[in-house]
Amino acid sequence: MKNKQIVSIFDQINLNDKNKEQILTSLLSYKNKKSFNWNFKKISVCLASLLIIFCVSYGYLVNKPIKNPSSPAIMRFSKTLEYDNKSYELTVDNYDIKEVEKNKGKLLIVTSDKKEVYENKKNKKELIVRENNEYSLYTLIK
Amino acid sequence: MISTLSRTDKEIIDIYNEYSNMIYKICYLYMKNKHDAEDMVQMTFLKLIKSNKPFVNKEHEKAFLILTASNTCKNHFATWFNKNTTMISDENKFISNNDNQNELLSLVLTLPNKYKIVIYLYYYEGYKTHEIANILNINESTIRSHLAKGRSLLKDKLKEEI
Repeated sequence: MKNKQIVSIFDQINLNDKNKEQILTSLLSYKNKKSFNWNFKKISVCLASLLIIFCVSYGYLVNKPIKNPSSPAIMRFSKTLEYDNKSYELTVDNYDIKEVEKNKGKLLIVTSDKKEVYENKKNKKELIVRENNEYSLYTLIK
Repeated sequence: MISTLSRTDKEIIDIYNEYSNMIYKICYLYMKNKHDAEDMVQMTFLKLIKSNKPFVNKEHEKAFLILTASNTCKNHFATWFNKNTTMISDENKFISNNDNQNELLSLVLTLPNKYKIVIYLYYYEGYKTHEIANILNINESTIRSHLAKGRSLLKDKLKEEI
């Protein structure tokens, strides 16, 4: 097979003028429209990043990290409890669940042995402590 | 704002007018039908528009387009659907007065892609084997063996036809 023959084979393959024009027109229209799309894309990426930053920071602020269990806020935890430089004493063991539902305020601290200390909404001098789904009541010692 | 579109319309038109036929030939070798080949030409030039790559000279520009066209066509066949679907080849639609020419084109199109592109670049575009190796990022010895294999396959096919 001669080289000329091969060359003439490829010569047959040609893009016709009409289609060539059409492709060029669509390319140019895409190119000129592209800047808008690009801006839109950039803006949406910025907005999405801002939303993610907002969500992360909001989530962090709302769910403040629980105080470090080793912090001196809570010293002992048996019959007496020291929290926020005040001493509380166990007054009611197996605190009534219905009462708990009414009185349980916000979570104050979780101890290293996973006891949860809640404020008592009705009485600021009392703390509700949850351990293994059982509640007990601690009262501030005068 | 238009940092990704550094080439002007005029530059794009000039490049398109200069290389569209060459790109079409390459795409046609891979796709074997006019419509897909035209789509691939469009995709190739879209990649050029999106690319911010500065070209050192005309040869660099041409090599970029050849490689982009080749990769675009290969990527087309990378999907499961396209890999398992056979398009109706319309090679005979190129009207040539010479029937032999049409037959030869059909034979060339039946060659595996790796041989077709090398034969095209060597015989039609007049590239040397080391230049083809640079463009396609393939070893020069591989290019030479592809050329030899492509030629012998074509010879065999021609004998069969006769």
